[in-house]
Amino acid sequence: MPHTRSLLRVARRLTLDASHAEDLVQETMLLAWRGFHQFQRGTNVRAWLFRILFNSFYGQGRKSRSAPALVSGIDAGAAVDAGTADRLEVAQALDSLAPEHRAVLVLGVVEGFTCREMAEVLNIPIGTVMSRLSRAREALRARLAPAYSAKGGA
Amino acid sequence: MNCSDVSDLSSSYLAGTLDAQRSAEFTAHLDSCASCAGVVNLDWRLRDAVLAEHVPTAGIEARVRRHLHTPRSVPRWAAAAGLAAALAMGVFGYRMVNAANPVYAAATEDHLREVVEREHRSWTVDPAAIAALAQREGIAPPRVDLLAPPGYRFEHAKLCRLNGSLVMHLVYSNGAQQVSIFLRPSARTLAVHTASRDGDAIAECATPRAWALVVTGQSRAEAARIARQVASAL
Repeated sequence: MPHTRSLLRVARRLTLDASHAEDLVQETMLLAWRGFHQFQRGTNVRAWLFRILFNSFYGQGRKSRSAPALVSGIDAGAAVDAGTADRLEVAQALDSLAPEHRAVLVLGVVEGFTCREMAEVLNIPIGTVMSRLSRAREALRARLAPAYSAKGGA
Repeated sequence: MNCSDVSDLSSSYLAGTLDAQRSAEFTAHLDSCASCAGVVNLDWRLRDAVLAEHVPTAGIEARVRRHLHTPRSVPRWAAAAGLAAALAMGVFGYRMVNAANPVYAAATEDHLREVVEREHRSWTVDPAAIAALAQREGIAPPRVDLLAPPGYRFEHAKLCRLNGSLVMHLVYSNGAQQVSIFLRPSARTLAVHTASRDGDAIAECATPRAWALVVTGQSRAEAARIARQVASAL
């Protein structure tokens, strides 16, 4: 099914839980199927699917986890090369951010949504998206700064 | 191009989807703006980290299909309003199974999930072990080499159930296409007849020795031809 992989990538970042993410994507696909008559042809089907995903996520009350599960698939204790270590560090830094920041980073930077599309998906003004994306990048950069790591996180 | 544009277009630039002119403008801006160069560098690391992760989707897609195959889960109005359009828009790339014939529906579902999408199953590849398995269950031991469609080679087989009936599922491949042949005991002769289900062709036949069902992504004529060969080899 088209978009499933992208939906699951985003869902994992939102929920920080692999099984919860799968449930969220499954619910999204079924809601999309049942509500397809509401989709306006000629509009962005990908944005429509992600909007359903976010509505479902926020509708579930976020179900935040106090101890996020590692979703990178990398054993943090295993010996890894420098590239893998950097990916792991970045993924962990991303997962430590606020949900709103994780959302715009994974949508905008990883999945390639424009700010206008993110505004549609998240149902917020485009100006809010732009400022949120800027703050999210700053937060991620701060998490990855050596001084932050040396302190053991916030 | 300004810093705001770079912030918005960074992902497209990294994905290589900006046109040549915009990409040149983007690069020129990075050469003169250390702040934006830092943003793009961080974005690159983030994309690299997240896109490198393994994201298995087969389980979700199978679960969604199962839900959609349950008649009560697909309201008539939804199907009428959205099915053709959804498929045309590429929202759902799967094939709907018409459950009018539950054996055909189960066979095409197994063929899709276990053969085309290669969901993990325990298969047997040794022809002697397959023959023994079949005999144990009262199914005429198949000569897997004789059942092979021309140009196809035998891959593996296993016992499974189609709509409650125990069958032997044999899989053949020519490297690009796969053919599923399901066998079970039979006490009567049935002339070859064919059907189409969701992009797959199905051909059913039976001899006094065995009943066979062929499922393939090729044409109904090809499925019928394979079924006739299977019937002569049973």
